[in-house]
Amino acid sequence: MHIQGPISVKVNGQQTTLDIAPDAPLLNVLRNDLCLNGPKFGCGLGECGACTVLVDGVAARSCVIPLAGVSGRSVVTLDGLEQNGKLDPVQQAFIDEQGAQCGYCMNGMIMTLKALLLRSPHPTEQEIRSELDFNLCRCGTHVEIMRSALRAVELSAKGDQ
Amino acid sequence: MQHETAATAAAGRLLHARLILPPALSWDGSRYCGARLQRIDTAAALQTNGVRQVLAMKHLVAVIADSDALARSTRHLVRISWSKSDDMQSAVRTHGGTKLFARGVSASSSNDTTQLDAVYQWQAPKADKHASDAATLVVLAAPAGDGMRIDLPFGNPRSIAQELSSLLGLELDKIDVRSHRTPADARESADASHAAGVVALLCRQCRAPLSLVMATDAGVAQTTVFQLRAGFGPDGALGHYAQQFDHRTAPPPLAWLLTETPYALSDAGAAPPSSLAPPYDWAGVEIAGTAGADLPLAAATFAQEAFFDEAAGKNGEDSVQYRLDHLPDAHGVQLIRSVTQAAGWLPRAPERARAGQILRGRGFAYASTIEQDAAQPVQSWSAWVADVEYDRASGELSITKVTAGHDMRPAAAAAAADVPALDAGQAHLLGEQVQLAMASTLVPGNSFDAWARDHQLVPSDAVHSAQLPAVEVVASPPAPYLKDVQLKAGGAFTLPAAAAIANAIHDATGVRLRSAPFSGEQVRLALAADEKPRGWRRFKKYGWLGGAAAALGATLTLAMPWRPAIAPIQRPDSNLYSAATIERGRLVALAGDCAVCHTAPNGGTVNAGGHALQTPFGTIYSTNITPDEKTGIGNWSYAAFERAMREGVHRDGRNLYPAFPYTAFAKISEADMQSLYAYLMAQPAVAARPPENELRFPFNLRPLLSGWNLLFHKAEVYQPDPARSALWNRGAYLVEGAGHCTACHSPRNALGAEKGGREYLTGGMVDGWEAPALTARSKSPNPWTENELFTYLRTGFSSKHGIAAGPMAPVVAELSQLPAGDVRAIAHYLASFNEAAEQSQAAPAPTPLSAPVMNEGLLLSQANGKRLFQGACAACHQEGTGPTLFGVRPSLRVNTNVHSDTPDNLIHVILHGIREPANPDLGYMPGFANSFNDAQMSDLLTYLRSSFAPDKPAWNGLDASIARSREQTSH
Repeated sequence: MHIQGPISVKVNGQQTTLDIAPDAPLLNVLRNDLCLNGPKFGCGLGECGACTVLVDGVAARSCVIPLAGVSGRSVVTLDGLEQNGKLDPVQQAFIDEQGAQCGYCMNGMIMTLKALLLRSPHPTEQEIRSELDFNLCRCGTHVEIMRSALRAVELSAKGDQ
Repeated sequence: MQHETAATAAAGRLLHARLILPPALSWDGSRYCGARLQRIDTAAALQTNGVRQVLAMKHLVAVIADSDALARSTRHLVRISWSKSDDMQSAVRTHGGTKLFARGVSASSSNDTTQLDAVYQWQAPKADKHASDAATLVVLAAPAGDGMRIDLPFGNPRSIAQELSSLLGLELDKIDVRSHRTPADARESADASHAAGVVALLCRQCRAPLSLVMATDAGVAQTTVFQLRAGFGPDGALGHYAQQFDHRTAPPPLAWLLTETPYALSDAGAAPPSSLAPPYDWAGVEIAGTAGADLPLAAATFAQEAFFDEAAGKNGEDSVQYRLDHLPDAHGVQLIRSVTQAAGWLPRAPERARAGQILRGRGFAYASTIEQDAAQPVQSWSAWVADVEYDRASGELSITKVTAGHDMRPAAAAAAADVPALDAGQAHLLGEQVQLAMASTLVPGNSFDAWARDHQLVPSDAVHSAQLPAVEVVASPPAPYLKDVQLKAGGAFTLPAAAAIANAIHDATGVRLRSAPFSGEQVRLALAADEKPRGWRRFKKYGWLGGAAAALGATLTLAMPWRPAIAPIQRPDSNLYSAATIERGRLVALAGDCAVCHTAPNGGTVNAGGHALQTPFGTIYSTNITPDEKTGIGNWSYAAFERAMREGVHRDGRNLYPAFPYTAFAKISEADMQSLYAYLMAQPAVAARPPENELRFPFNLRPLLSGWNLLFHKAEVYQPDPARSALWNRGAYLVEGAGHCTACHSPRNALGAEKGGREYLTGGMVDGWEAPALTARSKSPNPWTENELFTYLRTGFSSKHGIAAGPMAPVVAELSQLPAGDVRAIAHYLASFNEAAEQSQAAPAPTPLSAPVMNEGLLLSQANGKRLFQGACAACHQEGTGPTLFGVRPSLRVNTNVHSDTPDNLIHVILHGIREPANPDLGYMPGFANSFNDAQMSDLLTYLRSSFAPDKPAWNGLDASIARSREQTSH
């Protein structure tokens, strides 16, 4: 799949044309070229989940996807979750439940959970655990993160009504 | 069954529908016996933005979308599994029938010493297939109160409203049918019925205004079967003649047919039984068949006249002389004499040696009938001589010349002695009729090099330019009657057309076609069946024993033919080629993956060459195949191009290395080869010179290749296997020809020639990658089925096998642009090597071997490997649980590479990742070359093998394979 020339991507709802090497990792493009610092660089190999964004509504590890891979698609980062000045229910839940300690994994936790809720609005606790299984937290906030996640499900359900 | 998106169609807005017709439509006279819908998966189609619904009512499937383009393009996303259609042959009934006509039956058939039997079949001709591909019809339907309104471009509103009223169960006044004009002919009237029924059903389902675009001539052809028996006296005299026919009731319009709704069939007028009697002086004639059937006279004429030719052949007589001897009608004799004289008919032996590539032959047929539909009954005579040519190489059948005579006069009047000359206008009229009759009798058949056109619009005119015969009209109706009798195609004049062609085909090729209409394919298959069964699939095998040195000595003494250069030419003007030819060439190029090898990696210009191919003999760089005159193939004539493709010889006479798979390309058909040339010449020229090849001695001596070619190469176009289906042959043509699958997937011998026979497609190594076996020898834990192959080749991923990576990724990327029908054919063909697997779909779980002896080192290695897997791989490859991430989630338990004898592919993918997947939807995999050391790689591989392929022995020599792969850049 050779994609050449400028690449057009929708980032946080805005159509953007980028004339950047097509094999540049999406994460670098988002952070360095578009100044969207929600996604974090963790392992660079898709192992930790800190760089998670939504690609066409599905969680994606942006450090291992080249820019060409999102050509013509829609990318949403943590920075784009807020709507009309109002935080997304998932973001709000993590604030309410104090889900962050060092906060480095927070982007990945929120974005992965957001993707889960888009797909299945009422997940069980088991489903949440399975979904967040490969988002690594190194400072031991797992209990708070689970509490935040369960609250996020509640808030989202309320928001839908 | 109804599949809907969340939002039901907004009322008031016009929706657009397109049909998905079953692959085979047929009707046995009382019920639908075409392909039946078994399963339908609409998920992919419904995910497309703007697609509203996929409706399935029995076997009628339609996509409803916001625009016609969308409905049309989404059709291929609907996955349908159709059952095979019922075997038509089993439905052929020729027994029984009412006795319709008898003459002289008292002359007992026991006087006959010899007998001749034959079964003939006639299918009502459809419009020219290619013209109808392009011809479409737009109809509209909208709910109106509790009724419906239908708008048709043409049709008879009253009869259609009646049909719909019974179809929908609505009262007649609730249905408002409007049409712009009355149908011009029966064909248009049938089209209107097809479209009206379908659009009404769809509109009732989605309760919204609907526009339907459908192809004209969509229905099922009507079939008539004749069983003929003739007896002959001791001296060859005509004895007893019996004809039994089964004329199937006309099939109902599509909507009724596909939903299997009963349809009230109208009884059309039947031909008077006496008109079905043959004109010759048989001692006894007996005709039986479906009473009251609207049997087309053309069908009866075809069966009788072709059969009479057989009778002449059987008695060793010239077919014209035999007719003259036995025709009591003096007027007919006169016409036959003048037509055969004009055509220069010379009697010749029916059985003769047929040699050469082009087979030529001529045939004669005669008919005489009384036409009832004029104001005054008119007797008409018609005699035809047709000349045909059959090209053995291309399988093309063409009519080169027709000499036809026609005479008619009032049935009551005495025979006039002289025939007035034909004026230009009349000759022209008759000539047009000949052309029409020819077009409907000779149809393009399924050919192994026909490109499925399911998603591209190719102007249909250029694809099959029908070869129009020269027409000579001999006698004519006297002018006064021409005004009274409406000349129309299918009238008495064209009655002998089909038989004349059938007789000519028999004369040319020795093949007797008994089923009209004809196609070159029928002749090809019959000829192939006659020949001795050839082991065409088995490659020429030589007792190959010695090593490289011995073989080279042999080749040197065998021959060193010198091939001349072919003079350079000016780059041909691409305007010489039609858009359709260039498009066809583009598809051939895609199937052949030209760009995969002829494009340098990392953004090289397409087809400008420079891609390095590592072979056991050194490195070969692919060449520039853009039409640049200095560095590319711009100055190559077609002759030079074809020689290179089929024989592996450069324009300047040098031998090309068989890394260029001319051994496969030789199988490409002539038409495809020409299109490919046209396509390549129409591309932008790029000046680029690839690096020089780096081959070791003696492999750098090109003349040695002449010997190689003598040993291993047979330049021969693909020959279809008559015992197999058209789909299978199409697949075989693509796999063995342009697709050159064996180049990678068949093992090669010491001299780099593909092994055939039992080694065919059993896997090989290329560029350090293992190309797995495609036959039953596959190491895959799940057997490959046709559907899995199709999905894999189309998308690059099969959940039961894994993902296309390495050199296969660009191949899939190209295949995904081919028409789906072609990829289906490839899958069908390849699956035929796994037939055992197809039958036992649910393969039993492999029984693990006795547990390997565990030593401490192995256990430690596995534990380390497991930790590494959990950390690095599990996010995407964990089984059962884990997040849903962008891309596919390949299971390693079913992955062919984990189960293979060699770890190379797995190592390549882990070290170098998948950076250019076959299609971006599959997702990407990072390479771990910089994060795993050799020991970690080894641990991880040990773990993967032991836990995901527990029944397979551990790999040996992991370290060496890892080191090799590290040196190699990713593909």
